[in-house]
Amino acid sequence: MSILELKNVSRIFGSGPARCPALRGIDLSIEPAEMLAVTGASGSGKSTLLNICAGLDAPTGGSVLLDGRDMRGMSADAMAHLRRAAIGFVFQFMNLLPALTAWENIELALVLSGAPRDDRRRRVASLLDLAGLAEKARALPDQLSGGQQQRLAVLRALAHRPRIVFMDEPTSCLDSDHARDLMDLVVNLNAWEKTTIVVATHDAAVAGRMTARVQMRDGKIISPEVTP
Amino acid sequence: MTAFWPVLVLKMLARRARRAAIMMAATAMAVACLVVLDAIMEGVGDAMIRNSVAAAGGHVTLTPTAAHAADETVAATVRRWSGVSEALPRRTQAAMLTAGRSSAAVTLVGVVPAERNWSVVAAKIIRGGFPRGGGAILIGSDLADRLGAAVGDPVQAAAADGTGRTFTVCGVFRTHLPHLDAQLALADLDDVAPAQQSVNIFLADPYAAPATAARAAGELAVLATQWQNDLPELAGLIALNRFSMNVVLGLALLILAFGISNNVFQGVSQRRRELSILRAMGLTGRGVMAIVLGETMLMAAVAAVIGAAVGIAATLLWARWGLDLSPWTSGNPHFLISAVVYPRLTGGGVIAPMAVACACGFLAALAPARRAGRSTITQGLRML
Repeated sequence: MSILELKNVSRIFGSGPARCPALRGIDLSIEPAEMLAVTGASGSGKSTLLNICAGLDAPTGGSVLLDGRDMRGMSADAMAHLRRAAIGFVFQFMNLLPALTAWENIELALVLSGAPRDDRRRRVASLLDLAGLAEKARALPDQLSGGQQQRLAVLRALAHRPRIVFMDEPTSCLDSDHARDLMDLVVNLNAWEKTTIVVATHDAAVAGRMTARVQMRDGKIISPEVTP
Repeated sequence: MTAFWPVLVLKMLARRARRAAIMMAATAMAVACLVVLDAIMEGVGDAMIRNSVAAAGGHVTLTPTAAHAADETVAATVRRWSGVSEALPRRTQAAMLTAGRSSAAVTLVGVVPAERNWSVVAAKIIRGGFPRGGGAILIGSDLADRLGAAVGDPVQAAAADGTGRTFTVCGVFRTHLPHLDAQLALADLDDVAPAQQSVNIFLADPYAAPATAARAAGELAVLATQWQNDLPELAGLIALNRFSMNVVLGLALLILAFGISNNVFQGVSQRRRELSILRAMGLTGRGVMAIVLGETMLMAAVAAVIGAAVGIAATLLWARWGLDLSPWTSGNPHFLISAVVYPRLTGGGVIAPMAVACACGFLAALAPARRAGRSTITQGLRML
């Protein structure tokens, strides 16, 4: 069974003369533990698609099923509970909380998911160690390099062991070396934790690390491609 | 609730330390001003009561009804009660004072020596001194002028029952209250016949007068009246004063609430992205509301405590010297003895501004908090 299924999903921004369709009849199925790259030029609808899949935005039409549950019609609170339990998100601009340390940024995801304190400690310590950020545990985000911040954002998204993690242009602010390191981390975490990963990117190198790829143009998926 | 959330709130506040400090300073200043203003209002009321009861008959006046309830016995009993500063027996007699060919109708009051510490008359002696028995009499300046009597002169007192005796003028007072200056004469308690007896009670807390009167009426064979009944215009004036001050306080709090609301709105707008991240991670709209409200309430509570502490300290310091209102109270009968006001703290006067500041903070933050909880996540995340 697919972990995520989109059926004829559309998203239209604005109305009247300002009406702008961002997604047009998207059908997509993502399998558990899959690593999917969503590629396409800027404005093709990648970010809108990820936002809708992650429950950050609602589609104008169609349905989104996560683990068979239709997210359409869910209350705001139910969506929030779903996000904290089953979904992780890595934003293009990291979006770390500037007031919290690296440790606390990761712990926040675990607090929201209701993890006990001891479990939180163990999980945060192991993740920071895994990403080579153990020495930066007490550092604030603005005391970290861009690469470290993005790794931290990935750790935060994966901390509560979500069923699926969405990453929106995770390497757009990184040089190629840091981008490669980050994708190594993502691929390793996928291998260890069997978390489904969906990455929106226009970087061919990033897309090449994924097991499946779909290309978007003008709000439509134009070419699905799966690497066995 | 995990301890993580208070830490998060504190850290978010610390990141906006300047804005938080400005809001807290404004709230603390408002609370401090309200505490001091309330204390001044209480002090003005106290001063008016203190002056007025000194010219009348104490906070509570007891009139013994039974023959056995002699004035000095009642006074001795009441003096032992908690909250009673002094209980002074008095004997009052209508009399005609004559000196030479002049005479005048007076109220002759027999008092004990301790009366000099409480009576307005004692504080307004312009010549001579307070009567200490042996036929000494203290008279008002208008009465002295009418009789042509000076200190050391003899005057004849004739009571309505036909009895009479000779007094020696021991002093002259001037209160500028015509009914006292022209018609009042004080002599020692033992020099006045016990025709009409009373006990005048002075209390530490003037507002305890009704309770003291009720207790006296219940436990002693007396008729008891309190200053609120004896001086209704004073009670009305104090109530009016309190109402006016409460209107001012209400307006000040309204301005404070507006300021807090504006501050919180700006804070929420500036942190829309931060709050959207929290929502994207799974915090509910109510959770975001709780954070915004929590921050504001924390600031309001801390500011209220600081403001109350500053207000209390300022009031206590001020109360050491008092506030002299004499330039504005000349001729005012409610400030006859002294126009110095001593600000007085009350529990309500300290707690109410703190509680109202917290309530203002809560109400002022409610709308911004609701807005933060309902905003669109994706729009918030786009804000840089």
